Amino acid sequence: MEARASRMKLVKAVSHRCSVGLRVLCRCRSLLIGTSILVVIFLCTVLAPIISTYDPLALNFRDQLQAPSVRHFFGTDNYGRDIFSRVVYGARVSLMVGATTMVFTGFLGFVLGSLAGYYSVLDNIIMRSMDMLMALPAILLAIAIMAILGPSALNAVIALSIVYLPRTARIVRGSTLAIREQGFVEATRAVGAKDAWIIWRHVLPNCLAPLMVQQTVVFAYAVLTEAALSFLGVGAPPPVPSWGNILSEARALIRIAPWASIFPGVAIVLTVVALNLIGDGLRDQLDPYLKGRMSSWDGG
Amino acid sequence: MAAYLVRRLLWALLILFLLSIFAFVMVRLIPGDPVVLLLGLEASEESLIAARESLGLDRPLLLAYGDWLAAIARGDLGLSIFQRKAVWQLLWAKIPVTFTLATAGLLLALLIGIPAGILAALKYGSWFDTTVMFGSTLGLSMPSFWLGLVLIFTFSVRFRWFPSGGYVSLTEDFVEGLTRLCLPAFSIGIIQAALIARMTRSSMLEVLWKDYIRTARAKGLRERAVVLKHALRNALIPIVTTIGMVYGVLLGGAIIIETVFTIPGTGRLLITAVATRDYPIIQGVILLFGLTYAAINLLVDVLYVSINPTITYS
Repeated sequence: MEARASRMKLVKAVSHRCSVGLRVLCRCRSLLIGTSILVVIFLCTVLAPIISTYDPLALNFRDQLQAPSVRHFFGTDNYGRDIFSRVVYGARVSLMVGATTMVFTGFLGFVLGSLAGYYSVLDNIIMRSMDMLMALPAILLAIAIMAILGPSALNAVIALSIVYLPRTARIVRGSTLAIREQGFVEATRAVGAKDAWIIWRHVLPNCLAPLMVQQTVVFAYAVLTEAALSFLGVGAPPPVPSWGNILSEARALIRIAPWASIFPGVAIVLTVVALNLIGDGLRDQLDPYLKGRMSSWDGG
Repeated sequence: MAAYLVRRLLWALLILFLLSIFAFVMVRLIPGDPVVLLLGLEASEESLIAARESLGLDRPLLLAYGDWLAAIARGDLGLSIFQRKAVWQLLWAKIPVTFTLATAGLLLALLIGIPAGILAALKYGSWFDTTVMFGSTLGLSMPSFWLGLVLIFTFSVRFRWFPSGGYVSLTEDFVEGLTRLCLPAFSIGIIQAALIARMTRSSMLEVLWKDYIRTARAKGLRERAVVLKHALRNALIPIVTTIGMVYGVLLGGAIIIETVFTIPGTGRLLITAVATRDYPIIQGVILLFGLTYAAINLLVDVLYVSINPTITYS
């Protein structure tokens, strides 16, 4: 009987959480639209083997350079490969690289940012190294790192994580500096709490809001920059399709088969618009003061 | 002010110093023997030794770094491995191209972004405002190289209004140069216009409800004067920061867009260097862009003071 009651309680708590989440989602239009688009794209990547109409790698010279039709929704390229299937599979690489970069920079950015903000001894060392990474255009730094590591999707994640780490670290450091001076932190320290505990229990929850907004932006820019790297031939290498390398191959076909360029590009734009809408929505919901303002970084 | 500038200059030098370490260590970070990777397995023993020597790989790390830094101070960025030319010579030929492209992009971004942002703020909540905000979200989500491809298809393949690529120096043939510059500059400029429009709008919105704007209106100033002289001047500070940032991003954007429009600039030089693992060139480009970034940031700080004399640096 008691077990059942506690289970009911849990179900109630979870459903309450869900309904709060849903209510926030519905109240904020940009959050709702962004999340919906992203969910659809995410489902496409998961269900790629089911919804793709052809093997994305299969060459079919009889169907070369076909315009979009019922048989080939997005047309075919010069090897007769179905572009719709390639775009659907390409989403896997793009989203995987973007999401992993978001997690890596989120974790490392939090560790470095909170250490820099909490311990003034480390502040200068960490933040000056971050400044150095920000002293170059993002794409140039990413290309330089890829030049060392060699082209692969995993290396693209490493390069993009290094590139976008400073922005996250800066934001966490700023929040940490503000929290460190607050009365409740001092009180916790006075009763003997260890630094790691304070960072975990007080700093992390308090900088979660700006961190979440920032990481959505990192996701968006990671997708864009990964596409640029693949486009330039230093990202995820062919034949595994990624939106960037599909566009790179389509560049030569722009005169005869514009569809080969248009659709992968639209996929990138849709994904990044969705992420930007989520970022804007989260910012509005989490920090009403910032409503409608841009995030304070270039991201390029 | 002078003391502040000196401090900022030292700061920039420190960052450049750190960047030089990064550029130098880069070659050492390559897994395996970089020289074999650079010259290929068939390279002769003499050429391997020569390459090792020219890259300073045969010397202890610190000594090699010292030599390399001293050479840079003399303006010697080393020899390109594949083109067998001085790196600074190669860079010197490509710099004007990339900077012309980035500057044209910036001009376009300012010409579109600032008026759009001001109007959107003045007509806050109207359809124009919504269009600008939607357009800027779309612009910020667009890869410049894809926009470039779409523009090539539309304006050079379909309408044949503009050439699809190539570069002609503006000093050589101004009209031809400008025609060739239009599409690439637009590809990078319009995206940054989106950022500038957003920044201008939010910055203007913050200023427009301030008391001194009401006072200016109350004393009968024309709306034009209120907006341009009172509001915009005060809203300019965050806009200038954004413009500084934007120029840096545009330089980065130029790297990619040069590939789309086959423009022989620094970006193309860099991409070819990455493909052929020509590290001295990559190092040179990194240092050049680092220097430019530092200069832009310094310039932005100086501009602050001239825009708003109430800011003093101590």
